[in-house]
Amino acid sequence: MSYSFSFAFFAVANQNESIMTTRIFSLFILLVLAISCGQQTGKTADLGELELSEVTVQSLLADASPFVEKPVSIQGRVVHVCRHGGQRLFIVGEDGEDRFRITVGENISEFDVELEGSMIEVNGIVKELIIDETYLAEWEAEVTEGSKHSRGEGHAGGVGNGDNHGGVQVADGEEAEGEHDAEMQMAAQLKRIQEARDEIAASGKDHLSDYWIETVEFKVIAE
Amino acid sequence: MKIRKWLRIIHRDMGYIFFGMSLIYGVSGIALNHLDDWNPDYIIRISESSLQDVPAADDISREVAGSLVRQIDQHYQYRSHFFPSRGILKIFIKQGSVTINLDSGQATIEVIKRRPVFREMNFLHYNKPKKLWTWFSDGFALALILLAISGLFMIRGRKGITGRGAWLTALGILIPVIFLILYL
Repeated sequence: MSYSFSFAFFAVANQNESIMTTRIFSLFILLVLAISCGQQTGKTADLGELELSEVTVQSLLADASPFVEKPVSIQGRVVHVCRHGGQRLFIVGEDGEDRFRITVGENISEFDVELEGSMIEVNGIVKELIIDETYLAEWEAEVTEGSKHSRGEGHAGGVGNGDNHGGVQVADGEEAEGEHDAEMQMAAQLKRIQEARDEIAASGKDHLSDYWIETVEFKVIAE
Repeated sequence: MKIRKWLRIIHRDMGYIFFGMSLIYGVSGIALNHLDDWNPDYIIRISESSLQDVPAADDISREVAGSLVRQIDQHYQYRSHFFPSRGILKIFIKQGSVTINLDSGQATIEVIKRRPVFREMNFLHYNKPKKLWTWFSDGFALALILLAISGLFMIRGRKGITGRGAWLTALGILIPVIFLILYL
């Protein structure tokens, strides 16, 4: 709506405030609706016509690289759902010890914590994060500068299968609830950075890869 | 004069319309500012208990796992279980989970409840519904801008934008600028 149109609109109807007010707000709401109806939703890939590769937690942990950016289907038991926003969960395979990270996609707003304990089937896209020295140096700089960047999609989400939100990761991948000591968190993150460096050195490659599945759709298949 | 009249009308009625949205974003904003201090989505209680005569891993069936959690609390309802590592049993219950060290019998109980009101507000604040909510909340953001601008020019005179209002407006701009200088 242009300004000239707005002022002309005001001038014509100034004799009746209530009618005018109703019109202004009706226009405002119509404008919002009109814009929204004319936009694409940015939906992720529709898996309907794509061929899904059946994978397991064990097969992805062994080598997920062939599946990067490809659609897969995986089943597993949910052992942990992120307590801060439900943006990721972890499933285990048959042995119960190996975990794999699943994140929400465009079509999923969050995972409910009530999924914990359920067997689910997830269809989604395998994603990869390359963790190299550049990445680690940047992460280290942010940690030492006291940045809170790690919450959400920050570097802390990058390494391993923990549930990281800038908190201290404990054995089961859960955050150390109630642990607020900034120095402890910084020390824990620096330790993880060093561990990643050691792991890169031991691997003989110049980087580590962190894999996860971005969910397009999922369903509970059993308790 | 007419413009000032309409600014007052816009300010008043947008204030009414977006009262609910202002509360949602204000309350959840405070909640999300303090994520290090609490979990606004869930109430999580962790407690410890000790179990007697815990069977070996090979002997734990659904029934046995169910009876173990009922030893802790008769109301706990078994859902499923698995072994995250050797000697550790994790039992999912309707109320949360129980992790048992099979060697020591020590159990850690995590009971989770949704935190009412805050969870819903955060859901909206984080724009988790996406789609149409994105546009409605954009509308709210636009309304905030209109509210701010119309608020500046609603009153004339010494208490208006040419007097006291100018000082207060300058202060409100200066405070974030100082924070940017200090922390950015």
